[in-house]
Amino acid sequence: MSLAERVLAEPGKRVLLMGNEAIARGVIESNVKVASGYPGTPSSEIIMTLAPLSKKVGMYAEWATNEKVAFEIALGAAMSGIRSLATMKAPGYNVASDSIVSAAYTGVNKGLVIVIADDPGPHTTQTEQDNRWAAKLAKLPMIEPSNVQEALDYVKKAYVLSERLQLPIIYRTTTRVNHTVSDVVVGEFVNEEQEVFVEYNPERYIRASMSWNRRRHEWLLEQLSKAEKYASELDLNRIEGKGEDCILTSGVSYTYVKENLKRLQIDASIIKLELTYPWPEKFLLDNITKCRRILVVEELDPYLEEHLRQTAQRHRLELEIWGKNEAGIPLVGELNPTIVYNAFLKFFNLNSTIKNNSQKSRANKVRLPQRPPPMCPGCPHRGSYMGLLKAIQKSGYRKREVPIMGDIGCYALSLEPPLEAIWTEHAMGASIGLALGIKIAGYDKPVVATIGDSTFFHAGMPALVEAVNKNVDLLVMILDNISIAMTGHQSTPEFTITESGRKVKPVKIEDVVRGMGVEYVRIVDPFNLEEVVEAVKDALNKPGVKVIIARRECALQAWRRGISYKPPVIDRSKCTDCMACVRATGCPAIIDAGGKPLVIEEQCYGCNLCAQVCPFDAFILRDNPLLKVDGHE
Amino acid sequence: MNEYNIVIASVGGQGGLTLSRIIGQAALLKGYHVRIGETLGMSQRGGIVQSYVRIGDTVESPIVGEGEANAILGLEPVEALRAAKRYANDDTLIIVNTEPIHTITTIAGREKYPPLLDILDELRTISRNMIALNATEYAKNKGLPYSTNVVVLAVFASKTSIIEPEYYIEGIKTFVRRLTKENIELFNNVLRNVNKIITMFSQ
Ligand code: SF4
Ligand code: SF4
Repeated sequence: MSLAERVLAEPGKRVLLMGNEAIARGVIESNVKVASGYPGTPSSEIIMTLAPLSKKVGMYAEWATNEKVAFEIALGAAMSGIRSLATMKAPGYNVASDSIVSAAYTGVNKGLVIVIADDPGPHTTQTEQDNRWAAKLAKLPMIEPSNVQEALDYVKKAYVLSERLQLPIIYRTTTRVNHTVSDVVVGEFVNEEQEVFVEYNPERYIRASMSWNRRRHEWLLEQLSKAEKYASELDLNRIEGKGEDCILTSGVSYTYVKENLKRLQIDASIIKLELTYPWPEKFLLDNITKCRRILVVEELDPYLEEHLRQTAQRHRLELEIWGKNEAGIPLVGELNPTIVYNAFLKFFNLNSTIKNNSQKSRANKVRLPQRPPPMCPGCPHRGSYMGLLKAIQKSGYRKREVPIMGDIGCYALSLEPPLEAIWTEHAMGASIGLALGIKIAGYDKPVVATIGDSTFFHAGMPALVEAVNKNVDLLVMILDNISIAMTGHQSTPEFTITESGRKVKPVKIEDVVRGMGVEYVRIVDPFNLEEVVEAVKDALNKPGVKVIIARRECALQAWRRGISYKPPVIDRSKCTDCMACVRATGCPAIIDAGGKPLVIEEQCYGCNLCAQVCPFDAFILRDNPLLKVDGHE
Repeated sequence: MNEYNIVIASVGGQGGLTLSRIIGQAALLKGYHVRIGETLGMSQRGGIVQSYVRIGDTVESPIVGEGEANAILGLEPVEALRAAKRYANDDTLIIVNTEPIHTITTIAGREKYPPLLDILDELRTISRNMIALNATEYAKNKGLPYSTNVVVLAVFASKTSIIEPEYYIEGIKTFVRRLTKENIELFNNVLRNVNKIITMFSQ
């Protein structure tokens, strides 16, 4: 049973789906016609699931250049009577927020759901920002599912709520919902007519009149005041169990609460919030009266806790509130069953019954090595950074004299040994802006910004315009691996065909860069170390903005398309076992096997970078990847 | 069955996630509820990958609590030990593939990859219920170098009775999209000769 078959399974069937696949199913069930997003963990699989099915289900499902554009596409459609979806990772909200906040004043004519996937942990995200505050800031209703089944089911509710309130809905998930795989029962498809109409209504859509803006703000508050009632009509928010000891929770934390209550065989009332903005105060007051004490179990910020304390104070409730501090629930990192278990021991005043992990103290002889994530064998970024570092050294600088700004993508793995190349990884596109700041502040040695293809389109372009316009001396290396590799190889604007199978017009980075006024533009092959070194050396000290595009398809992607090269072999008669090849590349496919270098053939991609750093010319090449050009698909 | 918790410890690219889904699908067909959680590093290959597979009549959360694993399937020795230290208890069934995968810190010479025998000793200290075999070598011998996960699955299937083998085969059919037939054959082969294979490939 393929993913497509599982996602499109007949209503009522029980299938195994990942949270994001379940959301995609919910989106299809809801008859959404336009879906857009920008890849970002843990949100990517929603559009990845929808895109290949989009023709079949009659939907537009494509990636956009960034989250703001993605949201605007969805908003434009929903303003015009078409159900739509936008997806993004947590910091994606920051990028899209300019449009999202205004959208609360505009509203929608048909359902619009914004999936924002937060990442407590964090597992893969630069910050642990808690986007529940984003809903409050934007004044948009927010729904939080707790598990994969709810992630599927509540999509439909979200569209109904969106249409009743005429507002976009924030569908806030976390990694443990997006990336959990679970058995789910899939639901019925709704099938209702949708027709495009574009409304001329200046007061609603033009934010240039301040009196209109005030009126729309009042309208928004009016809509929000109805949200709780409509949500309860959709059976959102619920109460389970019994007793004067209560637990307030939402999202995935609910699952930890439930399991631990069962494990400890305790009776308590669980107040499970699902509409978490606007604050469902009426529901709470209706259900909280029997509570004598209440424990708040939530990840990251004390969002529920602060709102609960306000409610308690406003209504002078006699309630013992246990929040983050009292229960020892951390503000940092994700929750897990063990943390909640320990909080329960405190709250319920119990002695630990958990299995004594005595084996832990027994087992401490072996020192486990760390396993930082490496660049893949044949990763083109390896060649780019090896060449860049070499060129810096050859130009007479020490390694830590020339700051290399990093950006968001696989190439940030160059932070690890042996390259230890980048100095920053801050926010999408920030490499160029930060480099500008350093130069403008007066740093007199060269500064290099390194940025990926998609990251450049996403948020690097405005900073490059700034650099050109202000005539700052700066080398920008655009690492074009012909996909958005880190999040699962999504298409970029350079593609000629998208995941949904549509032919599109490719936008080439070199054309964009030249169009911005950059005169020095070179394209190099990162598998050709000499070429990279020569180009960087040439560009490093030239005045003004220089752009080097290092272009070579992501090895993993190429491999999946059946492209790889014959591994080089080491001529034992020439090899001195100096290990330069192993140490310089840090490639997982060439290792120190008891003092001798060994190419692990089944892992080797055949990029020949290791061969290019051997001082003794000991490699026999069996293939030449430089002859072949990998193209955009 | 109330609940059964499996932790799969692997390195990105070894098929740990596929293994979790095969077991998940098998459990679903058997009629259990399933929750699979995973902890991924940032890289697609070569980083630590831990998946939790929780099955039973009433499972809710996607994470296994500390010391709560019924079984640990280690596709790589260091990762098996890392997971065992956190999730194993005295009764945990540990199945470990003995083929090491170096880390970039051990390649770069900053840290040592610990001797295999020490790792196995320590796993044995954690739980007596420990099975070690070079599943990678066995899979390679059978012409399926990327099927370490299927070999480990078959050992697990033969040492436990929570799910019948035919369900695992259905799981393989659903989630192993390449060389499906060959992998099913590999699975059956291990199942038939499990003790012999464990002895022959014990290092
Ligand atoms: S760099 Fe060359 S000489 Fe040195 S160990 Fe590698 S193959 Fe042998
Ligand atoms: S050729 Fe060398 S550097 Fe390239 S993938 Fe193979 S072992 Fe790694």
